[in-house]
Amino acid sequence: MAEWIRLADEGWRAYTDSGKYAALLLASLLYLIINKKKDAQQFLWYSVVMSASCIFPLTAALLMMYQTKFYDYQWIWTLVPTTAVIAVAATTLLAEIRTNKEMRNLKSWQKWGVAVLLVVMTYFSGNLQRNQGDTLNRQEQLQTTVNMLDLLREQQEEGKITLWAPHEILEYARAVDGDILLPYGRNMWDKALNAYSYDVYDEQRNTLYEWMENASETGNTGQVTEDGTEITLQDCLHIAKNLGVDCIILPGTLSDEGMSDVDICLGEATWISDSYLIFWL
Amino acid sequence: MENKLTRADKILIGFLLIIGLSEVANLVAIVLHKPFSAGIRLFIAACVILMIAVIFLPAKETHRIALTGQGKIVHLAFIALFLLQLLYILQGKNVYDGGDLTVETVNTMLTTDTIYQINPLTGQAFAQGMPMRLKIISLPMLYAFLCRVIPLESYFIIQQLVPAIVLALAYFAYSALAEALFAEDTWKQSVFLLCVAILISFGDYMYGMEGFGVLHAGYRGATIRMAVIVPYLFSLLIRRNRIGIVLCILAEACIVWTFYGMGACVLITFFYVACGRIWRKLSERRKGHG
Repeated sequence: MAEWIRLADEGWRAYTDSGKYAALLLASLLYLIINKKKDAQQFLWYSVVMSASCIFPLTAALLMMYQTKFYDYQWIWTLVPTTAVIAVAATTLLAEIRTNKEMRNLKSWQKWGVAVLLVVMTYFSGNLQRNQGDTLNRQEQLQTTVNMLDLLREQQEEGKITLWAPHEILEYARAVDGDILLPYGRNMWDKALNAYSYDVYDEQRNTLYEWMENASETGNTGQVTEDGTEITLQDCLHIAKNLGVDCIILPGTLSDEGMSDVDICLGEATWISDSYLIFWL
Repeated sequence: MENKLTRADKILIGFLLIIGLSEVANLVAIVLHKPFSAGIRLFIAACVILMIAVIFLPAKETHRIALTGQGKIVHLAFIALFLLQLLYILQGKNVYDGGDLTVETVNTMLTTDTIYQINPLTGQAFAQGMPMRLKIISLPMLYAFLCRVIPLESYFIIQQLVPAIVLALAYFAYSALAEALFAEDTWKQSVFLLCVAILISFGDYMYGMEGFGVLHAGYRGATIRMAVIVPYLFSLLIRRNRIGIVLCILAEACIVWTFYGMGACVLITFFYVACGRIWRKLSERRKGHG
């Protein structure tokens, strides 16, 4: 239980670090309570009770236990109609300004000014840095994969292809073409995906992945592991053939020594560019 | 409260029923070890029956008070913001697909004609298989149906077209909530929708926020729950529409991993009803003392 409470406490801090919608929510609830909005009282009190439950560590921990460890803290806020409550508060305030007799003396631009102020407050309640780094690279990576797979399909129009390549190509390979088979998938580097299957990768597949990542980063075709074992391109080719690989894409940034190794083991590439080399087995 | 079916209700209940039908087809195919194509045929047959039933279903329309002056400007502003969001989603430059394998799963279904027998991430047969809690999720079956009938790339359909549809459904859900909260006041309903659109636009700052889900990951079950089912559930709770509430609970179980069907909708319904009963008892006591 102590672990759950700690996670709930840390979760609340992370939830409010990124943006301030939680603050907008609390301000909205306060306004609606003071305003004594007659409609939808049950909706209002539910929102108050559930917001408090999501904030206080003990009740938040219980909610996290209910939703299971599969989900992180921020998902308990699904239970709170945050967007709706803030929108209700804003709507009520603007309606008040529009119809209240005491506010008749306000000029039109002043009433519109309140609306603009609410929009500005909302904008600055989000995270101005906008954590979208993960999404921006996607288009570029997807296009790279599409281009490479188009090249493969020029050489083999139909049928399945078992491909071994750097992870940035494997990332979207099966999303682009379901007939591309892989010795290992995205869950090799995106560990969250391991929840979707009971299967685990064997040592051979791990070796292929580590060798390819090392080759991409260093340009070397020989890799020395932590226990001192050397893994060569020849070793990896042997593993790849055993796993049914029939097409290999290597990074085009290999060193001169690496390229010599490739020439000896694989011969001439079917296709060459600055970024990648394609070989058919 | 009156339980008239509005246009938004028809669309949303239709959506919930489609999820249910895809779930039935999914489960039948899994339990009976049928190929994916058999599951699709069953889904299509069920949808045809549903459409026929809907045509003959008596529907009542609420009388809508027309917007005037300022209300029209607000409504136009909402439409403009909605279209901008739609364009943003359809461009597909900011899709968040971390920790998700929906596209691969759909592609695997389409190319191998199997359901959850092939590892979607590698295209090789499973050695130990997938957890049952994930096999029962019916969204891949539904998306695979769309990919079968729409001649476009599957990643475009799933990660751009579907989120565009979810965006529209989200606003229908909030429209239903607006009508429940501000009955007969169309000005307030329009302002409410515009506020929702603004909050979604600026609220995409963190994974798990509604704005982030709608604008960057609208195809995920958790997003559909948060942006469509939950707001609609609140509108049904306010209107005390029990059948709709049950449909929401069941639909959530079909698209998001829940603990044996116990998800957010069950908890929301339980606490909403409990809050209502406590509130009424306190009100009665206050009136009694007064």
